[in-house]
Parts: sequence; C-alpha cells; structure tokens
Amino acid sequence: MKVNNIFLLYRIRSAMAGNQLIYWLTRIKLLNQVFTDKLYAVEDGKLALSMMVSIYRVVRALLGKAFYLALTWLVPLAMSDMKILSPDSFVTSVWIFFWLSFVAGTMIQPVSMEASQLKYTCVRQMGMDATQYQETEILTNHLAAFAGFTPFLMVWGGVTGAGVFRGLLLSLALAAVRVMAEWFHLWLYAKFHLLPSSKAIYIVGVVVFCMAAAYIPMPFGLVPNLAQYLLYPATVTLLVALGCMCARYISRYPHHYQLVLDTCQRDKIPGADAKKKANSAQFEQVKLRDSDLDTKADFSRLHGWKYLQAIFFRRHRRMLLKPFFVVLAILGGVTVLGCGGIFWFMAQGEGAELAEVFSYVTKALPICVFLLYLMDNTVGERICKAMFYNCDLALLRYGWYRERDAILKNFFLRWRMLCGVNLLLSGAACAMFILLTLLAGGRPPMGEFILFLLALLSLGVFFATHSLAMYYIFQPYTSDLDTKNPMFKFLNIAMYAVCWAASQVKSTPTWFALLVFGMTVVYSVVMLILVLRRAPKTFRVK
Amino acid sequence: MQLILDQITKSFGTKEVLKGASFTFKQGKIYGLLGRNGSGKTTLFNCLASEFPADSGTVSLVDEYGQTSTPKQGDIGYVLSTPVVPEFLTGVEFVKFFQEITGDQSGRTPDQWLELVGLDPDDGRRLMRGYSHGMKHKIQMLCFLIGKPPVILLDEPLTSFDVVAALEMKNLLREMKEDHIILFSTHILQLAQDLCDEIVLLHQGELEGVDNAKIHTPEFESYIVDLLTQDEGEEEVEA
Repeated sequence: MKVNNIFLLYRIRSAMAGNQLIYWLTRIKLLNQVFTDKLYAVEDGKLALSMMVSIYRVVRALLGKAFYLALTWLVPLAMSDMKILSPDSFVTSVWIFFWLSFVAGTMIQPVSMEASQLKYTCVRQMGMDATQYQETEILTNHLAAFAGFTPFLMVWGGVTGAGVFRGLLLSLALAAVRVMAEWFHLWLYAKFHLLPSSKAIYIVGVVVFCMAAAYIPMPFGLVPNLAQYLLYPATVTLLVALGCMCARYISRYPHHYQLVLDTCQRDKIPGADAKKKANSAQFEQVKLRDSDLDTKADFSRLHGWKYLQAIFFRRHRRMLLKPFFVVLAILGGVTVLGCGGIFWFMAQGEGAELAEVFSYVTKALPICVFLLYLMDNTVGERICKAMFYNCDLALLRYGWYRERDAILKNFFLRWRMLCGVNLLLSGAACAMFILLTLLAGGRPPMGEFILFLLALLSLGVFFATHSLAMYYIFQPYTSDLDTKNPMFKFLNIAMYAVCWAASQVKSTPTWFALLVFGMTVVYSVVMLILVLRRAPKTFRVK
Repeated sequence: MQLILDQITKSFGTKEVLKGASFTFKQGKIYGLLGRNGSGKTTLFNCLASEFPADSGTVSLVDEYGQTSTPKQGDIGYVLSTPVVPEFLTGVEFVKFFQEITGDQSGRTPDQWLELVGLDPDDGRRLMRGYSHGMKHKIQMLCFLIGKPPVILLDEPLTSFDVVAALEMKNLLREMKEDHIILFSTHILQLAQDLCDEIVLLHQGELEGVDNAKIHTPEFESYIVDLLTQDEGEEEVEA
C-alpha cells in the first residue's frame, strides 16, 4: 500500500465533503449572500473548508465513540444495581463490548463490503486500482476506529480500577478482530460468492442475537468474566498476529475489483440521490398501477374538463376509496361496538343513565372537529398529491392548462368531487350518532341535535376547501417531487393546531355548532376568493 | 405575424445566462436556435413560454395588421426536450379532450388526428403511460396542429426519434410552418441546416442572426464554429 493513496483518498474525500458543505451553505437564505457558487472555484477557500470538514469529522468520530460507549455501557450499568466505577462494571462492559463491537460491529459492517460515494467515485468512475483503494480504506478506517476508541477505553480501564493497560489491550484486540472480520467476509465472497452483510435478515438476526447475548446475562448476575481471557497479553498478541496475517491476505486478495462491482452500485450508496428517493417516496401511495387503468368505462357522454376529471377520478378511485373505506370501517366498527355497549348497559338495567348520557351527545362536537380533520385531511392530502403527480405535473407544462379559465374550471370540478367524498364521510358519522342516540334512548334538544349534525356536514366542506385551496394557492410540489413552500407547511401545521385546540373548547353545543358553521362559511369564502385571485398566478410547476 | 424579443435578461444566482437577447422572428419560417451546451437555449424558451419570468426585457407579438400585443398563455406552444403527457389517459381520450377545450372545427375524429402524426388506432386506445418517447412527442405536436398556437417552441425536438420518425416530424414541421413561427433549439448543426430557413445563434447570452446564404455551403460548419469560439480566443489572448 502506498502512503500516497492515503493522501489521495483524503484529498478526494475532503473535496467531496467541502463541495457538499458549499452546496448546502449556498442554499440557506441570508448565508447564500456570502457563500455563493463562486466558492467552488476558490482553491484557498476550499482548502480551508476541507480542513474544517476534517476537524469536524475527527470531533464527530470521537463524540460518536463516546456516545456509543455511554449508551451501551453507562446506561445499562446505571440502571443496574452495580457500582459504576468498579472492576465488576469493567468486566460487564467488556462482555457487552465483545458482543456489540467484536461480533455485531465487525460482522455487519465490513469496510470492504460497504457501498460508499467515495468508493464509487474513486474505483468505478476515476478508475483507481480497487486493491489499493480497498486496502487503504480498510487500514485507515480501522486505524481511525482504534485511535477513536483507545483514549476512552484506557480512561475507562483506569477509572474502574481495571487498569489503563487493559483498556489499551481491549482496543488493540478490537482492531485485530476487525481486520480478521474483513478477511472472513472477503474469504466468504471468494469461496462462496456470499455477501451476508447486504442481507437485511442477516443484519437483523446478528443484531438481535448479539443484543440478547450482551444484555440478558446482566440482570441475572451471570456475566462471564471474559476480560480475564480476552485481555491476557498473550491472547491479544495472538489476535494481533492473526490480524496482521489477515491484513497480508487482504493486500493480496485478487477479487477486490469484482467485489466493488458487486457491492458498490449507484442505487446502494447511502445518501446518493437520498433527496430524490425521499421525494419520490412521498408520492409512492399515489402512483398508478396497471389495475387502476381500465379503459373500458364509457365517458363519451361527458365533454371537455368534465370528461378529463371524470376519467381522472375513475382511474384514481383506489386512492380515493381506500382511505374512504378505512374511515368507513372505523366508523362502522365504532357503531357496532357502541350498539353492543348500549345493549349491554340496558341488560344491566342502566338504560336510564345511558339515555341521560346520550342526551348530551351534542357535546361531542369539539372532539369531532379534530377527528373529522384527521379523516378528511388524509383523503384530501392524498388526492391532491395524486392530482399533482399523475395529472398536473404533465399538463401544467402546457400553456392552455395554465390559463385562468382552465385552472378555475378544474378547481371547481375537483372541489365538488372532494366535497362529495367528505360529505359522505361526515354523513356516515352523522348516521352513527343518530343510530346510537336512538338506540340509547337519548333525547338531546332537537334543534341542538340538528345543528350538531349540520355542523358535522359543514366540516366536510370546510376540510375539502382547505385541502384543495391550499394546493391551488401554494402549489408546493416541484418537478423533482420536493415540497418547497414553507407557508404551505406552516399553514397545514396551523390547521392541525387549531383543530386540536378546538377539541379542547368547553362551550355550549349550540354556540359551538354556530361557530363551526360561521367558520366554515367565512373560511370557505375567503379561500375560494383567494383561489380565484391567486391560483391563476401560483398554480405552476416549480 | 412577428415575434419580437427585446433585451431579454435572465440570471440564476451570480450566473448571467441571458444578457439582453433581442431578435425578430417571422411567420412562415423555421428558425434554428443554435448554441453551445449551457448557452441558455432552454432558459430562453422557458422565459418565452412563461415557465419562469425573465428578469427584464419584453416579448411581443405583432399581427398581420401591425397590432402589437403581449403573448397570452395559449399563444406560445412549447415542446420540452423530455415530452410530458398525462399518462392516465389514452391517446384518443387526450385528443378528444383537447379538441373539445380548443373548439377544434376541423371535423376530424381523434383517430384521424392520430393517424395524421403516424399513430395507429390501436396505439390510440392504449394508455399514454406505455408510449415511447417518440410517440409522446407526436402527441405534443398534435396539440399544436389542433390548437394552432401562433408560436411553437421545440426544445431539442428530434434527438430522440429514429430515422423514420424524425423524417415524419420534419415533414410535419415543414407543413405547419406557413401558419406559425417555429423556433427549435438544437446543438446539432446538420439538423439545423436540413430543416431551418434561418439560423440564430445564442452566444454569450445574446441572439445573433447568421448569414443565411451560407447555410447550405460546405464551409457553414467552420463558419459557425468560428462564431461560437471567437470570443474564447480573445479571452485566452487577454488572459
């Protein structure tokens, strides 16, 4: 292995990290006045940034090790009745460390098998010798881990009374075992073409087994004194010698390039296109399937925009109906349970009390506001995403689709459809309340009860208007499927907060129902006016 | 009819892409917009098609009576280099819908329109989700044939076509040009020579007409390369 390779990889890694940092700095408002894309070309500035990134990586690695040890040792020790700073706790920590770091850590994360952006760039794109890359990365990674663990393990050995030297031996043993594990994985690949660390089931299995082995003996006081065998100088010497032999095998391993081709593929690199993947994932639920796309339904009686929207809703009925039926099933379940409960109470001779309770059913309106918000918002948000992903993303590229008339005609057709869906849900909730109240013999004041039911229905219109108007006024999605409008996010959170706050309101049912009515009318009118005025300008693909 | 661009500018961050692009395009001609990669051809088209606004400058349409107006949304048709169609519709459904919203008076059925651009009736009854790149392009071109926008912008339109489809599209564009102002961007010189009546260079953020007499001469390629690289030579000398 050449020393040059270490510096070469360091420089490439730093340049990549520096460029990434500049990229993010240029995207932050206000900071982008100072950090412009010209920084990419400023060599001195990039060098300084690279150094900052290097310092950050060292600090992060050290803090990471400290956090890992604190989490895996100190927390369980603190929860046990063991004295934390004692030789016993050192023995326990070595046992835990053995299973988590010597076994789980080395068996699920071999450096030689990992897919990284650096490996992809150096070996697959820049044509660097795969053997040199692999041996350099394996060595530098394990040396860095050794350097990161050693101070903490030595301090731990010192403060628990086990001795600083035993801490050093523990770190040396781990470094040797790490290299041996690399050899083991390379050997598995060469001999059987196996890549166990790429299988989720293997990783989960190893993690669960090692966690169990590390922690189950603790509460029973059955932790074996592994330290006395593992940290014996002769054992560590033997492990280091074996580690050196494995390192020699790794440097002469003939299949590094094939291994990189098999393991380091673009779609396997963590973080690569992560944003894109995350953006795409949020539209996963609204992607059309072949089964959605029947071409047999007859739409010939419809024309123009009605024709377009009818086909759209027909071919998206799965997305619309699935959450709709889920909500209906929940309401149905609640109704059945409610009926069962009513009959049971009646059988217990508590019918009068029950009738009394249901005479105050209208007091449930505040909590219904929040529950209907959750129900309607699920349907509304999903259908707006489907509208964008499967229809508007393509059609908004056409000038005629962005004309004021077209936008508003489409909006009102869609609004009517969404109001219809929400009114069906509200209607189902109304039916549930009517049925349960009649069965229980509740006698709420008739006027108040009718107001309560009408308020439930009006909430359906309220939330339909909210979902669709927000989509049209802010159109938050970009052609990269990102959600970019902070105001859109803020107002949605605000709506959640308002609906939750409404569920906490203590008011007389009549006044609250009138308030819901009033809010529905005012909010719907304001939002519709905003759509009329703003949507022709804002309803665009960003 | 004329499309007049006057001092169009557009910047992204510190990068000035269009630095006062001005030109007058006339009806009945196919204009080839030539420029190097990254010269701003797509940016110019996006500004003209109101995909995003220009920082400054004006775009105006002058009709046959000399009346000047700002182009409305439907006046400029734009075909992206990657064609986009609503994939939940079949070709026939899309054409029927488009005919109805544009008030098509041609008397043609959707199948007849599809046939005109070389799509057979069976394809027309398939969902556009399964269409090839070229088929989606044809659907977009069909929108122009039906909607007849005065200005048609085509961004790298023929690069994804096979030779047969490319020839069909070229013939289609030649047939359409009498009623439209057609601008198409490309960096393929031979395509521009083959199809265009005039060639306009987008270079250093500005538009510049070239000597049309040279379009079909053997030295046209070196003439264009000289125009596109002369400033680089000067910059190197200055450096």
